[in-house]
Amino acid sequence: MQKRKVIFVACGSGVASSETAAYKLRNLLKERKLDADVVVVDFRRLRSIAKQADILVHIAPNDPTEYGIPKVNGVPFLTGMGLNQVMDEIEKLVKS
Amino acid sequence: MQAFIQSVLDLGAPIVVGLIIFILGLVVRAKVSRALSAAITLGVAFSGVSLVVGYLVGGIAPAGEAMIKRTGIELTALDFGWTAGAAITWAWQYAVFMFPVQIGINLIMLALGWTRCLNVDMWNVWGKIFMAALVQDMTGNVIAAWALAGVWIVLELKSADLTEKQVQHLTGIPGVSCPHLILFDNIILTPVDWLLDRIPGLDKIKTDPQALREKIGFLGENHFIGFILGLLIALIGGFDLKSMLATALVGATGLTLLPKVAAMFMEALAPIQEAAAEFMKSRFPGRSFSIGLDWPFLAGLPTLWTAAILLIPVLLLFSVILPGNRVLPFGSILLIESTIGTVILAKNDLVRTWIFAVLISITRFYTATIFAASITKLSQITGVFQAPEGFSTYTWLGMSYMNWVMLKLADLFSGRGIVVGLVVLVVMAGCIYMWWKEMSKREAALAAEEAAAGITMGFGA
Repeated sequence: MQKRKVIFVACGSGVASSETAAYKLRNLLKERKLDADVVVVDFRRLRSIAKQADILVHIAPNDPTEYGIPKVNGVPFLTGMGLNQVMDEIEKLVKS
Repeated sequence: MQAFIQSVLDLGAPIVVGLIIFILGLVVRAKVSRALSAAITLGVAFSGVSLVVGYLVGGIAPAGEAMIKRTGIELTALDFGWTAGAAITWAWQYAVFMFPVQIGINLIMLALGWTRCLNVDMWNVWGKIFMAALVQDMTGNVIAAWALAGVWIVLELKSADLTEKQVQHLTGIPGVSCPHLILFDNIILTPVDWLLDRIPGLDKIKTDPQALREKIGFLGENHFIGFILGLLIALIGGFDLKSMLATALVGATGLTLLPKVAAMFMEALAPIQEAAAEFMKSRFPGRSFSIGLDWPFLAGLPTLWTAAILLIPVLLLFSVILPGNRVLPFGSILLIESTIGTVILAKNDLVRTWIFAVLISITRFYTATIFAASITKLSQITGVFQAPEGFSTYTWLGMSYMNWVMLKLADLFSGRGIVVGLVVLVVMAGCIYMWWKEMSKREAALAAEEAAAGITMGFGA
């Protein structure tokens, strides 16, 4: 039994976009019977706290900063386009 | 019937809005338990924001009062940042009707081919509610408030169309656009952009925003900002070391917790946001359009953050030297409101973004000063906050000048302030013309570039 994974969902203020994406992500995780903690965070704090998570779902995928954890594009959670593909990516990471 | 409605309204804004969210939840076919959870979460958000603001005011006000007394600078309107602004709006009696108005206008414009933007961002409906609530309060003209909200929505969609390729190329994300009011800044800054183009040597200055961000980025974190500002206000107020540190910690705590409790508003709205987005997308299957999103997908640009941090000292200076300013910058001191839109106009150049941000921030000080009394009044009517002791009013420094433009147009509608109203109308028309031409030129250039490379950043044909 591996450790339960922590997923950070990050946006500019940790209020609106990240909360919308996190809502969608939680529902899709449940649909796929995956178990993980989804935590909404503020972009500006990422550098200091990113290490506490296993996966980063990023609303601003072009951010050049490396946070030291796998980064997944979060925009599909807002647009709905290419959502299955990023969910496959997340599923692989959650199960790893 | 009227007595019944009155007795429901008497329950207070948080309960009434919670009730509406519950009913809306059922309308979009959420489970009863889910709808109930959303309604209670909304109530928690209201109480939470009210609690944190009360705590922040209690801790900062004595220091602010001492500072005002000691220095004689009259900064009597405390800036709480956008979270407090958003909290009041949801308590406006007509707030929820803005959802169908925005969705309706958007669908009509899409059907007629007047926009390419399908705006699925239901969160920023609050920006229009905020404007309409203030305009109604200050002019008493509810019809004008709604008509101008309509104009605002159309302008947001056109602004998204006119920056579509630019934001796609800046972020590398295909198929999106940004119908956010913050991009209105570029309308009145286009003439400045034209001037800057004529200054020789300006584009020779090379900067590295990412490297700068690595060095000073920590200054942009809420707890640092709150701590330093609290410390500064207490220091100028002449407090001893112990009280200074205590005030600083209140500032840090307040600014850290405010976004966390405000996030609960979105948590409550999430099911409705999703249902509305699905509803809109299902109306236009297979059509070529851009999906309109809230601004954070732009947040990967280091320029935006670096420019906002370099703006902080300017804001502190402005608060003291701008004649007639009453705003004490606090919650919005990292004024990304001034850099999110301008970074697009500046084509991601740090120097230009900063120059634009400095200029547009002047309009923010005056707009926030003018609306302070009304914002304070609304917050009291809705019972979200009590009047801050020590400060006569509070406000939001990040407010767009467009709120003021709409106020003057509402006055014009109501037959008052004809001269000012007409001047505002003419100046805005001129700026919009220049902005429209410049943006269309940039969009066409990027489209041609895409065609030459044989790629497309949009969906569909």
